[in-house]
Amino acid sequence: MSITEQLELTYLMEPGMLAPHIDGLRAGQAVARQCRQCGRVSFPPDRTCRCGRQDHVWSNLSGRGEVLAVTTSGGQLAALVRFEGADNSALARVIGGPCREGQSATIVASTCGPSDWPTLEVTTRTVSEVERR
Amino acid sequence: MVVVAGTAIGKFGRRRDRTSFRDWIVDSFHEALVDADLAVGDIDGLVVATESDMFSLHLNPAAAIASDLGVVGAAARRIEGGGASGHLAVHAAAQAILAGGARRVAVVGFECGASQIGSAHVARLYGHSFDGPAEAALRIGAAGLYALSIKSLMNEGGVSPKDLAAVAVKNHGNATMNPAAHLPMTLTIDEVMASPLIAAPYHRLECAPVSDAVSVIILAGASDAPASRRRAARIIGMGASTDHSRLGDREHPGRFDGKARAAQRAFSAANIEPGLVGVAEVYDAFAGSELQSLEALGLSPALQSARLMVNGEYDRKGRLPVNLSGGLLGQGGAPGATGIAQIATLARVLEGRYWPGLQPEALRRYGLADTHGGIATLCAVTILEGAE
Repeated sequence: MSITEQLELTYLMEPGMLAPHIDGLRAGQAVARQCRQCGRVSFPPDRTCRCGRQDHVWSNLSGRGEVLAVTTSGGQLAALVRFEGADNSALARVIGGPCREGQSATIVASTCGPSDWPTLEVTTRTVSEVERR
Repeated sequence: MVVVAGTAIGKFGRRRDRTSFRDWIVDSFHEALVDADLAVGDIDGLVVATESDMFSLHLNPAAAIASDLGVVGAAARRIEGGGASGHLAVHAAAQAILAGGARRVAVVGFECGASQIGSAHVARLYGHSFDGPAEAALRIGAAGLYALSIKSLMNEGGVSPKDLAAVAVKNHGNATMNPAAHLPMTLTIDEVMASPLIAAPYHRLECAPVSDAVSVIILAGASDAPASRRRAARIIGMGASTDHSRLGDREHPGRFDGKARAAQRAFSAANIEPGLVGVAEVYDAFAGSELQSLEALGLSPALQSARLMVNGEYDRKGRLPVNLSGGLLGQGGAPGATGIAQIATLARVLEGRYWPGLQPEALRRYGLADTHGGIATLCAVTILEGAE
């Protein structure tokens, strides 16, 4: 007979320097990192800029972006979204309906619980449509 | 120069036969020793590869395995780099020999995730292979990320959903002639496309399984291999590189630029051109990644890999057989063992002693092994040459 060992693991993780970005995801705001040296804007944020610098400021993007690629996985829609003003793209969960490549998407407040790592969530519907649901 | 003195490719699959992975390791090690015509006492180095302690529930496995193998006293270490773990262990062993730190090194790769813990746990843990908790929390998993990558390439043109299925048909088909394979299957494109959708465009039969496996190779310096193994294949070039870990940070999310850099370094070290490669084992964790890899490795022109594959170029009887073993799709996926098995496979092909039915009729001179962790984030490439 096989021998069973069961572990129950709880990890306490800290966002660290990403805290402003993580707080933004909870609030439905696209908080991006901007490099003080070269001006590159990253969302999700880089810890070190392509130019090699760490010093940065945080800025709010419009929260709108373009869907570059979309898939279904684990019963949900996931997309690669290029947000307006960002120099990179972000992986996002798509909520509230269908999604096509080339469509416009808008960030919404993360539906994760207060002690969960918040996910970037977007919708291709207008925000008012989502609020009416 | 480093010689692949001996090889052992253990059975890939789901081992539920009342044996432990530590049994499998001892068995494969002795098989490789016999193949190398060496004795236990000849081994002065041990490199162990396994992806995650969370699968094996064994921290510091190299220490225990040195005892299990009877090589106490050998310099030992464990190497990890996601899906490339086994391949990186080969690099580490070869570099130790080239640096004069060891003469005959056993490289042992293993995984036991298919039988020791549940598949839902494995899938959840694998979700942490990318950008840590941020991408794990999305719960889109490896399949979702690979799907977004191949869709980015499909948006550039040159790859269709049928092409992805054709890769799966080829690799599962090759696996039917490989007794070590996990998923040997004779399939049609329609059957592959009728398997359950995992992450569009990927169906189940286009996604590699999670396998238990052990692979072992014994590397030796040119003057330290036994005279009986003078005809053994040798490693002539190694290259490694990385890409941005987040897909969205890449200029072309559908291309494997880190792999291209690793390949350039390996070709430069080997001092040969990609066109000379006559056989390749390529990292097909998902069907499309075989095509993306062939283009990054320089084994296909950009956006031409699907056309060449459909034309039979990469078939077992084609100009450049790719994944004769069945690859990860057919032979199985076991990160600690995979890269070692790829290199063992190529060494046997170059010596003309791979499985009947898969061994190319015309002897090949150069072989290339390609493995990666993440989504072609951490890449390792090795080029082998057969004895003249």
